[in-house]
Amino acid sequence: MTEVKHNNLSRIVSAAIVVGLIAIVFAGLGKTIAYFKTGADNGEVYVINTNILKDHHPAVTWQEDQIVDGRIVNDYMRGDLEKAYIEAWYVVNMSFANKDASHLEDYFAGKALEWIREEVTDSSAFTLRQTELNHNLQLNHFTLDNQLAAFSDQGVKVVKKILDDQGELIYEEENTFDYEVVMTLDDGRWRIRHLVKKIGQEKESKDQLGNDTMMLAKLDRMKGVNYYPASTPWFDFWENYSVDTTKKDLVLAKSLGFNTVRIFLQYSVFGEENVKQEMLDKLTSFLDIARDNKTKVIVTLFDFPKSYDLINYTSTDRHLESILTRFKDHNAILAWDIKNEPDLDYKNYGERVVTDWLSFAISRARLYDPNHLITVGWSDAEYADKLHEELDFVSFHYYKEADGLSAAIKELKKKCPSKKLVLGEFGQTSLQSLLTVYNKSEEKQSIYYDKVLSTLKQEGVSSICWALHDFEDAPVEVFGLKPWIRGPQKHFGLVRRDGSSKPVASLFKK
Amino acid sequence: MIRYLYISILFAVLLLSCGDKEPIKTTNQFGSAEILFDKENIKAGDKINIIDVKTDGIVDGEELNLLVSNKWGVKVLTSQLKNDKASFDLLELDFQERGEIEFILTAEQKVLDRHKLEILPLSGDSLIESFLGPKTIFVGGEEKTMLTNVTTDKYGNPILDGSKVNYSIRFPGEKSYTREVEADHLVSFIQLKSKEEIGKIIIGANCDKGSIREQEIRVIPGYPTKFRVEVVEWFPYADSRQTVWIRTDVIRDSFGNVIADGTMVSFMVKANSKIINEYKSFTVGGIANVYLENPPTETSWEVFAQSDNENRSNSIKLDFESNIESIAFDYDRRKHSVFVGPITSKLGQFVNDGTEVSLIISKGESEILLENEALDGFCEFKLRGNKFVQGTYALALEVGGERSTKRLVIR
Repeated sequence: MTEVKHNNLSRIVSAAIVVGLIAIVFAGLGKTIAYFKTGADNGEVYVINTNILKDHHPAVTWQEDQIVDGRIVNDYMRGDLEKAYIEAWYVVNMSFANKDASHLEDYFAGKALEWIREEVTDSSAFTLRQTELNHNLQLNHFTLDNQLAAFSDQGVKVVKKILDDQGELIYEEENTFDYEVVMTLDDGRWRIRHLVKKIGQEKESKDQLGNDTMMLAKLDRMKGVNYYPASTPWFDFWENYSVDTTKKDLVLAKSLGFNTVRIFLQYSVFGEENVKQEMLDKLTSFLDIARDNKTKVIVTLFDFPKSYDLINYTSTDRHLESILTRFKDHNAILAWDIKNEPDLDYKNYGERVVTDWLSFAISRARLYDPNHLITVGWSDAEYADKLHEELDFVSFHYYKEADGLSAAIKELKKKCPSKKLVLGEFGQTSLQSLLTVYNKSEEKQSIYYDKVLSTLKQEGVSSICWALHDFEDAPVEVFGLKPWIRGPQKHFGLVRRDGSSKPVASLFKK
Repeated sequence: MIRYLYISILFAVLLLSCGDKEPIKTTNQFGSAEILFDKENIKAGDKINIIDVKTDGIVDGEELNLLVSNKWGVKVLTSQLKNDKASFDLLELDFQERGEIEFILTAEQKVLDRHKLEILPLSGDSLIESFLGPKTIFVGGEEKTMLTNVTTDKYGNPILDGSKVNYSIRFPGEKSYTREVEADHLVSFIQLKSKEEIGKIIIGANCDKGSIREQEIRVIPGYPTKFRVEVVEWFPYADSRQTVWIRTDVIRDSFGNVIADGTMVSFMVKANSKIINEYKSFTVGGIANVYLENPPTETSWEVFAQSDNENRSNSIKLDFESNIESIAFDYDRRKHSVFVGPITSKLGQFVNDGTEVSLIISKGESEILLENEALDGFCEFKLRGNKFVQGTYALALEVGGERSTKRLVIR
C-alpha cells in the first residue's frame, strides 16, 4: 500500500517538474521572441519624418499684424510662412538630437545657416534634446513682393534636456524665450535668415489647489468607484458610448452609496493631439449626466499613451489643451488623474523619462485648468510619493493582502506628510476558479473589502474601489492572452453581469 | 503531494518573475555656488577667457558643469571643484551671435547659479543685406515699391533697433534726396511710389561705413488712356481671302508717355450685335496692328479695340458685299450629278478654292442638304443612291451668301 502511494507521489512530483520545466522553456522562448520583436529603441524616434510635422504640434497663435503700411497678408502666404517656420524648429530639434546638420539648409540661409550648423555639429559628448511647445507670432514687416518677412515670436516655451555620452540626463529646463526673426523666400522656400533670441521673463504659476479646504473636503466625503460599462469596458467605452447606459449606471452607483466615479479616456480613442469633437461631446454628455445625478467624476487621462518621449510633448500639450480648456468650468469634475499607473511603464521607458513627462503634463494641465484637483494614479504605494509636491493629492492603488495596507499607508504618509492620500483602486475578484492561485469567492471578496474599508477608515483615507461592474470581456490588448489573468479581471465588480448586487455592495451603503 | 505541486508552480513563477530592477539614484546635498562673472553684456566677438566659480559647502572633487545656453544649443563645460573654487576655460568659445545667452552652473542635475549675458552687435562696421521689389512699377503714383534692408555687423548680426539707416533716392528727372530710417524688428525699409515720369528710380542706403550698391527701379509707362482705331486697308467683299488691316493710333498713358512695348490690345469683332471674334495684339511703339480675314459671306462688322484696363476705342463699321458675280449649275442626266461652275467673283475671276458651296434639294416637305467646296471655280454634287428617283425637285445653290434656284425633273 505504501509502495503504491510512493509510486503515485513520485509520478505527481515528476509530472509537476515536467510541467514546470515546460513552463520555463516556453517562458524562455517567449522572452527570446519578445526581445526580437521589441521594435524601435528610443534613439529611433529621433528620425526626421517624411511627413515632417506628424509628431510636432506646438500651439501656434497669431497676434494682430503690426505691418507699418497696413498691408494685409493673406492667409495662404501667412500659412506658408508659418509652416516653414514651425518645420524649421522641428528640424532644429531633430538635428540636435542626431547631431546631423544635413537638413538645415532647407530651412536656414546666410549666416543663420552657418551658425546653426556649427552648433548642431558640436563634437562634444553631450547631446541636446529639445522641443518647443508654442509659438506666438506677430508680423512686423512683409515686403511688397512677398520675398521677406520680419516677425516676432514671443513667449516660446522650450523644454531642453542635456544628456551625457551615457545617455544620462545632466540638465533639463523649461524656459521661455522671445525671438525676432527674418525669413526670406529663396527658391520657393521660406528660410530663416536672421534670428535674435531673448530670454523671457515669464514664469509659470504652479499654484496648487491642494490647500483649498473646499476641494479637500470633497475628497474627504468621497466614496468612489471605478467605472466602465459592463458590456463595453476599456476601449469600447467611448467608441460605443451610450447615454442610456450611463444614466442607468450612475443611478446604480448612487444607489449603492457612491458619490464619485473614476473614468478613463484612452489617448488614441480620443484622437491624441487632434482630440475628436465627437469624443468631447461624449465626455460632455457623461459629465452632464453625472452633474444631474450629483456624482463627481475623476477623469483619468492618457490611458495607453503613445510615448513619453520629448518629441511627443507637443502632442501631450495639444491633448491636454483641447480637453482641459473645454471642461475647466465643468462642476461635475472633481479631479484630473493625469495618468493611470505610470510606474508600470518605468521598465519600458525608464523612470526618469516617465516622471519628466508626468511633471510636464501636470504643469501644463494646471495651466489649462486651474480649477480642478490634479493627481496621478500610481499602481503601487511604494512609488506614490513621486512628484507629490506637484500634485494636489496622492493617489495610489492597492491589490495586495488587506493586512498590509495599513503599513503601506503609514509609510506613504511619512514620505508625503502634507498631502492627502486617496486609494484610487483596490478590490478583489470574486471568480471561483482553479485559474486563480488562491481560489476566490464573493464571500471572500466581501471579507477583503471589509478589511480594507476598515483600515481606510482608521487611516482617514478616501477610496475608489475597482469596479462597479463585472465585465463581459477583459480585452486582450489590455490583459494579454493569459486566461488566468483575463478571467479574474472580469469578476472584480460589485454588481454581477445579471445586474444583481454581490454581498460586497452592501458594505458601501453603511 | 499538493505541497510539491505548489512548490513547483511557485518555483516556475519565481523564475518567470525574475527581472532587472533599476537602482534608484540618490542626489547629494549641495551647498551654494556663485558664478563670478558680473558683466551683463559684451560686444559681439569679445572673448571671455575664464569664468570662475566660488562655492560654499560643496566637497572638493565634485564635478561642476557650466552650461552655456546659446541661441539654439547648449555647450557644456566641466570643471572639478578644489578649495571651494572652480574655473571654466571659455577661450575656445566664440561669442559672436547677437542675443541673450545664459551661463548655468549645475552639479548632479541641480542648478547652483545662473547668469544672463547679452551679446550686442557691433556698430560702425556695418554690412547691408538689401531686398528690393517690385523692381518695375507703372508710372503715375498708384504703384509702390520697397527696399528692405537688414543691416548687420561684420559677424552678420542685425543692428540694434533704433539704429539709423540713411536712404538716398533719386527719381527720374529730379534731384536726389536722403531719408533717415530707424531699424525696427531687425529691418529698415523705405517705400516709394512712382511719379509722373518714366525712367529709373535710383536708390541707395548706408549705415556707418557700410553701404549697398545702387539699386534701380524701372518706372514704366502707365495704363493706356483713350485711343482710336483706323482701317489702313481693306477689300470690301466677303471673299474669306483678303484681310482687313486695322491699327491703333499711338497709345499713351495719362501722362503722355507712350505705353510700354508689349502692352496687349484686344480687337473685338461684332456682327449682328454679337461679338463673333476676338484678336489679341501687342503694341510696338505704342501702336497695335491686327489683320482680320474677310468674312465668307456678305455681312457687316463693327470692330473696336480695348486695352487691359477695359479702356475702349472707337468703333469702325465694315460692310462686306457678296463677292459672287455669277453662279452657273446644271443637272447631268447621264452622270446623275449636279455640276456647278464656273463660279466667278466680282473681279471676274474664279472664287477661291475651298469656297463652300451648298446644294439644297427639296421635294414636298423633305429637304436634303449637300455640301462641297469649289475647286478652280467648279464643283460637282453626285446624286447617288435611290433617294433621287423619278419626280420633280427644287434645287437651291448657295455660294458666298448668294442663292440661285432651279427646277429639276428626273424621268
